[in-house]
Amino acid sequence: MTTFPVRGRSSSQTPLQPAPSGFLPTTRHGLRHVEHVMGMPVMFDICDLDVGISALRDATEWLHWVDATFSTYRSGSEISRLNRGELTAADLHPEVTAVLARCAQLRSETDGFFDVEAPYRPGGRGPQAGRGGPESVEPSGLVKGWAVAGVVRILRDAGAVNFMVNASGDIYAAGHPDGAPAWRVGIQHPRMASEVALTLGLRDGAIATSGTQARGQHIADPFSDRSPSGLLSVTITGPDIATADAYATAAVAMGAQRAAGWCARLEGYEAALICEDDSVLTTPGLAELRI
Amino acid sequence: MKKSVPLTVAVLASATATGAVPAASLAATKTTKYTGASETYKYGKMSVTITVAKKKMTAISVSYDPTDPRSSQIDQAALPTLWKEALKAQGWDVHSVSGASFTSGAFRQSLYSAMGHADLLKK
Repeated sequence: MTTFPVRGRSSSQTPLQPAPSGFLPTTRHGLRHVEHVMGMPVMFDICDLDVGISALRDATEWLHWVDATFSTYRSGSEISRLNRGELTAADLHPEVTAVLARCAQLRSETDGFFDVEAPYRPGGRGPQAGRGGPESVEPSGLVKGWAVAGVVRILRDAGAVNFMVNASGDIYAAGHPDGAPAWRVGIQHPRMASEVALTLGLRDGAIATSGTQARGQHIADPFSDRSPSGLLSVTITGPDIATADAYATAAVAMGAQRAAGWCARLEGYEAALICEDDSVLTTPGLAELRI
Repeated sequence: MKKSVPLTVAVLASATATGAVPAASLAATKTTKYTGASETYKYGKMSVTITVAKKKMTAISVSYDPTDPRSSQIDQAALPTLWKEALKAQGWDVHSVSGASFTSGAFRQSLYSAMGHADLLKK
């Protein structure tokens, strides 16, 4: 039976908190797993009875391969070696080439606001130790979503139909959980503890949220170099989790005014923008997903 | 490469294709939810909630406790096609929540806390 490799502090001195009552059960029979990779928990919730643990193993191995290959925190990753000039474009793994190509596409789709080189900023928090200089490639903003998209493919290839993968707040939901016609996914309320602002029903779709809470240093307007304003969070939903994540990141960088116009023109993706004046702007298509 | 994770939570439900728990047995089992301490991470606060049945974790979920009271007005003259409504907290029952990224460190600390409440930590 399952054992839990518990280490660390006991929290018995922490006062007991009532649990939020809002989380629904998803399955009584499936596989559930949390994999820690890229510094974040990736939660698997697989409802299909006939999906074996080997699918989960393949998926987690893929995630760790992506981490080892793309991480700018790892000196031996292809991205780190590329940034040090040890690799040229011709040496790169096809997945790396594909990610960098998609980054370039996304930069164009987002009017330049999704920028793989943008994190390096003289006035910002600066590159992390081990990262490269101002000319470096930093595709991390896409890699997480790309990694989860790969997980979705692996699980589907293994026959999974009903499952959810939650990578630290960015979610792909396939099919439906036991006893419900769709996955009910809440969008985090940007101001209130343990509340959601909207609830969407998802079937075979992705949802990603980027926020600006304490996040000014993290997402910056690549043109003005300043923190964007007017938005508390942007949520994007659509078929591909990597695209949704990148769009959400870009929209936050745009600030409210520009993001609103840009989101309104998206094709195949829907958006919810939560603004600092406590208004919620949604694309008309998002309404169809609300439950 | 960093060693691949000691699984904080291995397979949570007891179920594999060969070891499924009969629905009837679980249906009759009392489940209790426990929420761990709110942990600060880069973009705010988060906490982990676990569901426990017969001293086993059967579900795990994350909620966010954001802490940014900023407020300002924006000019929305240029928003013709979007629908606008007031932000409000919903009554909610969801399978998961989409929000800003949190780290494994914050997740683990809150998880341990929830497990402590549930008396699941090894003594």
